[in-house]
Amino acid sequence: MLAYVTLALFSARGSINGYDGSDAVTYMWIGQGMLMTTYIISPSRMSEIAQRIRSGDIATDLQRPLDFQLYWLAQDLGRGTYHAIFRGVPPFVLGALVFSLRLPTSPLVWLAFVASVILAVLVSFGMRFLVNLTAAWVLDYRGFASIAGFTWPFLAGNYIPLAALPDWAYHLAILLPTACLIQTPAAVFLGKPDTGQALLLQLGWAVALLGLGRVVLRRAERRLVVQGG
Amino acid sequence: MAELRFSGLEARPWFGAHLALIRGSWRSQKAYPVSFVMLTGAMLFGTSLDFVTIAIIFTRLPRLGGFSLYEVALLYGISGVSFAITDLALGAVDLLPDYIRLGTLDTLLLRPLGILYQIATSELALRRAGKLGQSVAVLLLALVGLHIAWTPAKLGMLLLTLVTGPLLFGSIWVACTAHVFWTIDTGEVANAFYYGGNLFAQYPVDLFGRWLRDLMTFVLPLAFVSYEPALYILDKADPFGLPGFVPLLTPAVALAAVAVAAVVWHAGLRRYQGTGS
Repeated sequence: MLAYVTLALFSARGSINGYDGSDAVTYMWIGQGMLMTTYIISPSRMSEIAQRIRSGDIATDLQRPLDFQLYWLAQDLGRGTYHAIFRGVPPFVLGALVFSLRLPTSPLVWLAFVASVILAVLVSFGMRFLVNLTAAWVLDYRGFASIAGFTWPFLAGNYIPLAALPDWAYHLAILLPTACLIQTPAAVFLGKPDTGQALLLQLGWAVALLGLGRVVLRRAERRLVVQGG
Repeated sequence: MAELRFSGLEARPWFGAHLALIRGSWRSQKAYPVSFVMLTGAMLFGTSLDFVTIAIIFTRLPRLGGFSLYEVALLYGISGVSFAITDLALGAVDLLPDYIRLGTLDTLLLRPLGILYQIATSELALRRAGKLGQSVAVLLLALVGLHIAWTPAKLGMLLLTLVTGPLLFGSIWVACTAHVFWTIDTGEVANAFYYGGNLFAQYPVDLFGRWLRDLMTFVLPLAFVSYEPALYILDKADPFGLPGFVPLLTPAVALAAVAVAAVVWHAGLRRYQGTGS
């Protein structure tokens, strides 16, 4: 439905920040699929680890001879693959039936798109992991989870393509990790300029967030011991 | 078992029970004050973001589907208030799939109260009030910014939408959720119609493709939540050439929707046999 609104906006203006009407509609349908693939769709679905911290089940997880973060990351990559195929592709095909969407012709672009989707899941996991770990400090993590649940889809460009933001906000928003979730894969798919730079930024955020996740996890583990697990 | 209803008891305790629930809910939610403040704040802030989206669109465009920013704000306000009232009163109906799957609906059926009433009052999430406050604010903003030449009829129409809007949303919500009596699934379909419906009613219908527009006007009468009444209040002609009296049909459409929802709900309840779990 927002695709219609976006189409009306971008067609009336001709093009905004280099996006025309069919770019924008394609963007919205990619966004639909990425929302599930990156799993930022609702706060309650983001908080499995937090629930385990709250219930104390995390003690069992930490005893396993596996790296805690990698264990969950592996699970999340599996989930992301499943959602990309079964919740990402069908809406896009449906969208392609109703609207005229723009498809890349070069196989190189498809390859870059797949890479970008994988990086998007990594960044998304890094962000969700951090929000979940707040449960080690505040017992009711739902406040953080729901703030994330509302702001992330917006900052990721799910409601409206980031290109439609006022110019200063657009240039700021595309630097945030949230832009890696929908904006970057969509820009790569549409073959926008500076694709290489955007992919590098995604990679940078993925590494930074996963690294930060490890540091915070160490501190959270120490805290859990104090609480008696 | 569904026939075992004592109709006299159904309507009467509604208000008193609701007050007791609000008190109880308030007390329990006060137990985690930081979280409650954050949840309500998140709701208030999060629901504002879709209005921010609209405002962003208007930084790029002077008019959208023939509506100015304040006119879209009127649509948004009416739709938002209606949705928030429905959500406060009937939001707990999304628990119905759980009641059916876990078999706890049997307990409710034994009690001499309407099932819908019992489910609706089983949970009252005060944080949903955040949405109401935000929508009222946008509605007031629209009314201040619009300079409408008020007549008693237009004022009547505005007040009427605050009744017919929740009735329409509520009917669609209940009727769509009732499909789980047949399918015993998680009710995701109903959610799509429910939240999608609110989104739809925030924008001028003119924007949407023909089939979607027809679906939302004649099958699921969401155009009557905000768009048709707003055309009347703003003295706008229907861009699809529907006659001028159509907005005046709003109350009739709302009552018809309630009737259809009631039929579907009762048919569902009669169909219910338990899941054997």
